[in-house]
This record gives sequence, structure tokens and C-alpha cells, in this order.
Amino acid sequence: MALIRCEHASLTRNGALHATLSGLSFDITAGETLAVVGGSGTGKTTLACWLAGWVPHAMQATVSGVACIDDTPLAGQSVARLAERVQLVQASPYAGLTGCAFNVAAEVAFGPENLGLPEAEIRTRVAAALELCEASDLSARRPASLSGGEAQRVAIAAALVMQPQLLLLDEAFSRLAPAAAGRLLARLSALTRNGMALVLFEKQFDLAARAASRILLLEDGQQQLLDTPAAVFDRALDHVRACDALRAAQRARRAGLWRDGVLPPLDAATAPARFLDVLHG
Amino acid sequence: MHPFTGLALMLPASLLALRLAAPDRLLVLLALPLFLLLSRPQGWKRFRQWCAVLLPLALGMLLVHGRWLDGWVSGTQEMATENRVEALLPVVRLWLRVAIVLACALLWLSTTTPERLMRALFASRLPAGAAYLLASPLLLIEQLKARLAAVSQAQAARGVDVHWSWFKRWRSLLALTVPLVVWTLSDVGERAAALDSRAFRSRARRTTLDAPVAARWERASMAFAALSAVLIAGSFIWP
Amino acid sequence: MAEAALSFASVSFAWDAVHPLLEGISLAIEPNECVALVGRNGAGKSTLFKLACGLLKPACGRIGVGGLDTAKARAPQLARQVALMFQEAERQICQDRVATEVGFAPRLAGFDAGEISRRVTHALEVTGLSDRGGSHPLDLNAGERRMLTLASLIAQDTALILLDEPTRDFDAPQLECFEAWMSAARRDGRAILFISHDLDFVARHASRVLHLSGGSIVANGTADEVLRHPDLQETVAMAAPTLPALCRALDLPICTDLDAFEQFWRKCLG
Repeated sequence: MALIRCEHASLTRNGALHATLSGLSFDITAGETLAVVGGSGTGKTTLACWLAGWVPHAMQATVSGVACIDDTPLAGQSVARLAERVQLVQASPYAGLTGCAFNVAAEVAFGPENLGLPEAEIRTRVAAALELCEASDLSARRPASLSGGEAQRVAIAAALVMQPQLLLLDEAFSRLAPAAAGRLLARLSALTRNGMALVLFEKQFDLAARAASRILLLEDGQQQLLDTPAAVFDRALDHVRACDALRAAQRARRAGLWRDGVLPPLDAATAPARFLDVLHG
Repeated sequence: MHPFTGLALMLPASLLALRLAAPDRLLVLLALPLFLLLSRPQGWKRFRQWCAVLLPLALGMLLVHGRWLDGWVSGTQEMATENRVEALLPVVRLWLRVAIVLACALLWLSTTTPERLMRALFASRLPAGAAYLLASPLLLIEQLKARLAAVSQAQAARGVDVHWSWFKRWRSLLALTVPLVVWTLSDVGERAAALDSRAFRSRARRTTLDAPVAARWERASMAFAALSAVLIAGSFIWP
Repeated sequence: MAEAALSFASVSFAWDAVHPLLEGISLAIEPNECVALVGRNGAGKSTLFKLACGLLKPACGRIGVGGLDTAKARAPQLARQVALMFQEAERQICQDRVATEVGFAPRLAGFDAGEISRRVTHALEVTGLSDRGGSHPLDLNAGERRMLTLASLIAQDTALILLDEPTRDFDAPQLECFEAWMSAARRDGRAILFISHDLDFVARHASRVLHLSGGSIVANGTADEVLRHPDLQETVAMAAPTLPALCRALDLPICTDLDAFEQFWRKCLG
């Protein structure tokens, strides 16, 4: 049973001349990791906000087609009620701060407090979320004094503490060093084994391919491909970033310097093996 | 001490200040909070804050209502001393009343921290939205300061000189305040979305961690304060 | 002898007395050099940039920018020598139209309207924002906003350019545009010092790499020498920069250029 279901869905923001998003047809099931990749301005953030229930109150737009969560249309949902099940971490790390917490622990605890959970449970959840995001040493800091990377960790912790069924990460690792981003992504992937669905909105192919079983490629707001990372590899790299090893593989494939049947590498670690496969057959 | 205790006690004190007319009685009423204020930790700092507002106020009121200013400006005859004292009496009364209210307010602020006050607001029976409206200004100044620092650093990097004269700086000051205002305004929508994302106001009851608890004596004091306030208010209507 | 574009002479800095951040930093960047500054988060790289711009004053030591002492020179003079791209692009933006934003620094410097217009047009062209001149900066997407800060830098026209995580918000086409500008700026003789976590980007462009750790410069050499330090690597499995690592694994001559790699690979396949 799909948690999120979209069929020929499209969205036009108020005041826009043409559709911001169109031709969206995909499913998200519990425990799955999907990556939505696309260049700048292709509609990733708009889609993320749509899935978080921002239309039409927080994002004025008209929608058509089917876009449902548990068979209820996403548009018109109360964001606050939906927040118990769907959490969005925005691209700008400071955008998710509530502005009414004196320290990071209070900031992260704000969500569970709103749910009316018992005090003991709130404290346990907050500690666990901060630990997972490697932000436990930030507990006593003032939210306004956080650097970009620290604020991103706190924002992700604040989303995880709500224990959502669906976690949407809109370029949420952009300010973290590659090592830290990799570690955090690995921990989040581990959480999906408990049934949480994860959607990554990324401009970096390596990061997306590492965690996702399927990749949705957006170009100009239109869904172009929805397939395994290997299948979208060639086209995706025209728009999104990737490390040099992957780019070298894409150019080799384009120039016919590849062997049929050998899949493209999905990260720098597997690149040598794939190139050697091409060389030796 | 629970943040609302001091606030509750301020109400009858302020009403009493309005009710009393004789300056000597007002003076006695002023002495009490001032004495308590000075005996608190950091009391001198708050006393200086009190002076910083009230002394210039006294000076200004004296000049205007004592008719000295009038005399200097228009060159009219000197007033007789008794007339001047008579003219000053309502002013003195007003000044004493403002002084009492401000002293009580500073005394109250010295019994609590902004953090405790925020928690008390959220834990109270106020609707969560109202609590947020009252509580968020407590942090606003800090956020504005951080933003101001960021914007002015960025501008210094492009050649805005902090040592320029005010005349030369006014244009760049405009360039400093406009983004701050735009930033803060665009923030409103963002904040609303951020609060919604944390399920704000989605449930009727919300938990507040580390909520200040009012002790029995505090609850009794608040009840006493409410009763006194009613009685004093009643004395206005039935003298 | 040409003056160094940027020089630090035994510079120390601390936010408070107890924890020194930078101690005894000495470095020199010559015109025409493109140098990368790498190190862990919190090592003080952004602070070093702010010192270089004169936004912060060193506790001791001297910082020279194009012949000026940052501790003595005033902001308008320094702004003609050095331009800084901040990590958070939004914090830099202070006007309500893209064109006015780009022209902010030249206007402050007192150039005439014709010169300002020329600089703005050129900057918008180079960054691909020519058709967005009338838009509000906050209406641009994240990559375009970073391009906007780049355009402001180009209009400022300085000999030394400091870039703090410049490639952060770019997609592939924007990155290409940016790299084209960087190559052109180097050919013009400008000095560039940049901070980046993207080691592939560092390997492609930096003629020299400085590693900042524990408050001092622990390494100063070519990308190949400096970037292998474990502090900078993500995991043991995936060595960065990735192209040289791939070349080593395939026994090909080491290169950091994709065109060169394609040639080697073509030869390898026979």
C-alpha cells in the first residue's frame, strides 16, 4: 500500500505563467528511499513543500491530477495535523527555527511538546534525535548562534524527534562536510528499516545514489525518468553534480568508450571496479 | 519564583498608585518597591535603569509645567512661588505614579528570566498562539542583533566605512535597514510555516517541559493580589 | 618585485583569551595564483578570510593586502583590493533589484554612472543573469543567488578574490559557468584564495593547497601532496580527489582534468 501516490499530477504556483511541476507519477511506500534530483530551479523544493502539505495555505498554487497521502489529497491538508506524519527539512537551515526557544534542546523539544506527549518521553526522544544527528554537544547553545552546518543538524533532529512516517530532506546536507553528510545519511537509511519512508531532494548524484533505490529526475518541473540510479545516470549528470570519477564514466559512456552490460558506477568507490570490468570484460 | 506572581502583585500596586492622591503617601508607596529592588542581586543596575528613565522625565516635566520654559521662551513675567508650587502638584503626583509602576515592573523583572517567562506563558491557560505572540519578542532582539551584525559585515566587505560621518552613512544605513526589514518580514511567513511543521496548535493540550510551578504561597499571593485589585478598583467607584 | 596579493606575517587571533583560534599564521599569495584553503569545520578558515578582508583585526602580526595593512587601512580602500564571497549568500544581499545589488560596490567606490553600468552589464553577462537584472534577489533560486554574489564580486573588480565555499549551491551547468569565470580571472592575473570541502574542485583548480588545522598551517603544497591527509578524507574506501584515485587504481597517468583522462582511457582501450 503506497503512502504517497501521484498520478499525472501537476502544480501551478499563483502568478506563474506555466506549470511549475507537471507529469508527476510516482509512489512512495513505507520503508522506501526515493531521491528526487534535478538542477537549480527545476521544482524540487516546490515538490517537497507539496508533499509536506503546504498547498494552498503556505504555498498558493493550483493543483491537478492525483496527489494523495493515504488516499487523501495532499492539497488542503492542515500542515500542523500532517506534521505528525510528514516532516520536511528545508534547504535553508535557519528557515525551520521556531524563534521561541532559548537553547537547542528546547528548539528540538518544541514539536513533541505541541503533541502533548509526556515529559519523560519528550526528553528521551530529544536526546535520541540529537545523538543521531551528532548534535548532542549543541544542546545548550542559542539557536541564533549556530553555524550553517550546526543549524542543519538541529533541523534534522527537530524533524526526527516527531518520528514521522515520511521524512523529506530538501538539500539538507549542503552545509555539512562530505564525511559528516555520509555518516548522517547512513544513520537515516538505517531508520528506514523501521518503516520510515525517506525522500531526498538533491543536486548531488553521489549522495542520492548512495541511499536511494529509485531516482526521479526532474527537468524544468517535468518528470523525465523514474528508475534505478544506474538507469538515470547518463541523463542526470547533465544537470546535477557528481564527483569527477562519475563524470569521467559518463563521458566515457557518451564517447562510446564503455562496454555494453557494464553498469555505470554509482560512487567513487565502485568506479575503479567498473572501469576494470570494461577493460577486461 | 513563578513569573506570574510578581506580575500579579504589580496590578494592585499600580491601582493603588492611581488611587492615592497625597504625594507623601505616594512617596511611601514608592519607597517599598525601590527598597526591595535595591536588595535584590543586581539591584543597583536596575536602579540605575530606573533613574535613567525617571530623572530626565522629572527634568522635562519640571521645565514645562513649572512654567520656567514658558517664561524663557515668551519672556512673560515671573510667576509667584505659591502659584508655581500649585501648578507643579499634579505633575509631581503623575511622576510619582509613573515611578511606582516602573519600580514595580523592574522589581518583577528581577524575579524572573526571559526563559522562565516564556515557559510560564506556554504552560499557562493562554491560547498557544497568544503565548507565542507574547513570548517571541523576548528573543527577537537577539535575532535582530545577529542579523544586523551579518549584514553590516557583508557591507563593510564591499566598502561601507564605519568611520564615515553620519551624513555619508545615511545612504548606506538605508541599505542596511532595508534588507533587515525585508528579511524580518519575509520571515513571518517562514516562521508560520516552521511552527506548523512542528504541529503547533494541532492539539488542544500541549506539554511544556520545565514549566515553572507556583508554590502554595504564590498561588495565595496571586489570589490576594486579585482580590486587592478588585477592592481598589471598587474604591474608585464607591469612594 | 611584485607585491604579494595577500600576506600574513605571524598572525594570531582569538575570540576570547582562553581559546586561541589562529596562532603564528604566515602565508603569501602571489598574483595569478589560485590557492585552496582546506581543513575541518571550526578550524578557523572563514575567520582567516575575514581577517584577510580587514573585517577582523589580528591580535598580533601583520596582514598585507596589495600593499595595504588591514589594521590601518579603511574599508573603502580595502574593498578596492580584495572582495569576499561569504558562505551564506543571503547575508550579503542588501538591495531589492539584481542590477542594483551588483552595482552596489562600484557605486560606493564613487565611479560614474557609465562605468557602473558597464561593470554591471559585464558581470551579469559572465554569470548568465542578464535576463534577471530587474528581479528581486530573493526570487532567484539558491544557485542563482550565489551567481549574484559572484556578479557583485566581478563588478567590484579587485586583484584579490576570496571565495568561501563557492560551489555550494550550483548545479552542473552553473558550476561550468563558474569554473569558466575562474579560469578567465586567473588569466587576467587575479589572485584567488578559496575554501572548499569539494576536493575534486580543489584538485581541478588549485595550484597550491594550504591545510589549516589546530590553529596553524600544517601543510602547504600541491593538491596531490596535501589532500591525502586523513583529516580531509571521507572514508578509507573512497579516496578524494576521486579522479587521481581512479587513475591510480587503473594504472593510468595521474590527472585532474576530465579531457586528459578521456585521452588516457581511449589509449588504454586501444
